[in-house]
Amino acid sequence: MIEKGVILSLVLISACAFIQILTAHILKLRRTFPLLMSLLFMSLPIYVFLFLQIAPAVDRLALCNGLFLHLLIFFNYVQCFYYITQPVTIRMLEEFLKAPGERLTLEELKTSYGLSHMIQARLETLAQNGYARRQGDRYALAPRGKFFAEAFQGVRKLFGVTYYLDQNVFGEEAKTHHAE
Amino acid sequence: MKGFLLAVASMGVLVVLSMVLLRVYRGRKYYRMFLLAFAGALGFYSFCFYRSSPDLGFLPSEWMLGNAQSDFWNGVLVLSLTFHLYWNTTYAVALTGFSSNLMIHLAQPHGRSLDELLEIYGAKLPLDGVLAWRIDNLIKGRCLVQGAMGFQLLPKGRVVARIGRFLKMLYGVKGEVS
Repeated sequence: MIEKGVILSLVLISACAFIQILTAHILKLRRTFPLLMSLLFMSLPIYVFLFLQIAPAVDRLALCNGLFLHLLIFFNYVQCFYYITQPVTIRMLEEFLKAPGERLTLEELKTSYGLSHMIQARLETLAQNGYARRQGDRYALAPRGKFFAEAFQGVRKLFGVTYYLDQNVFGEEAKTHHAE
Repeated sequence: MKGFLLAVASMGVLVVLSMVLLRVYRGRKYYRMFLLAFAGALGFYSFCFYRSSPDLGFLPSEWMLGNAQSDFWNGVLVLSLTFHLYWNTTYAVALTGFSSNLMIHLAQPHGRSLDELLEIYGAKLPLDGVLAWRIDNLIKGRCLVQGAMGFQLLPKGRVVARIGRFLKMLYGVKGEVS
């Protein structure tokens, strides 16, 4: 029964991915997360209906287990989607792919996908999603952004981990004077 | 449900173990500690599953699965999927995420300007921290090689870049998404 539940979940998530792809190409959405959450909520009653069709004799416990697995698989799919779209490293490799002879000097790389571009794009995304707001030439966190920034700092303290750019990893002095 | 409950308990073990390992670890490859914690939690789960009674001493009969193998693999699946969510949230987002770090730097009473942020990230250095870290890793991972004429993409890097470009094209993604 567990196998059937997992297969059903994979089929439904594949259908969600197909709808996501179609929607992205037709509507040219700027925000994907609300669409993903809408697809998840739509898939839940369909999952329950189909689960009861393929296993009419199962108890509520098996259904709850199946629904829980469906949620886990869906959120794992969401994370995999962001693995493709967010990483700076993949974007850098794509710049090499576009370059003549798949070769770039450091200056060329900085021009096509430099730090300024990276930060500007992320700031705009944060502002667009309500995590930050622009005040003249400055960006400040909105209450929602403050909450997450404090949570991230809390997690780093809890794990005793310093961000890689704040470490003395390339022979530079650690940028502690910037720390809050 | 024995597998499910043991998977939840093992997830607790995993969280504590990863915290302890990261606190004692002095290297830069944090993900290794997460994988080690996952391996430990999987071992803990398997040990408990095969050493404990089928009802764990308190489960009612209707909560027990007839097939112990299915029950075991259900727990493994729950543990693995939960671990991936935990890994992504803590390692990829909170600990090493670029946007997360940007938000931490923005957490000032008057925020930050783009110039201030560029200075923080070492934009004035010949090789800023963001590029330096990634180029270093890409060279070590045999995706790039450094030559006299700059950096050259290697076959492994080409495959990663092509897969990334194809998937972004498939999903209709241009630039940053949210």
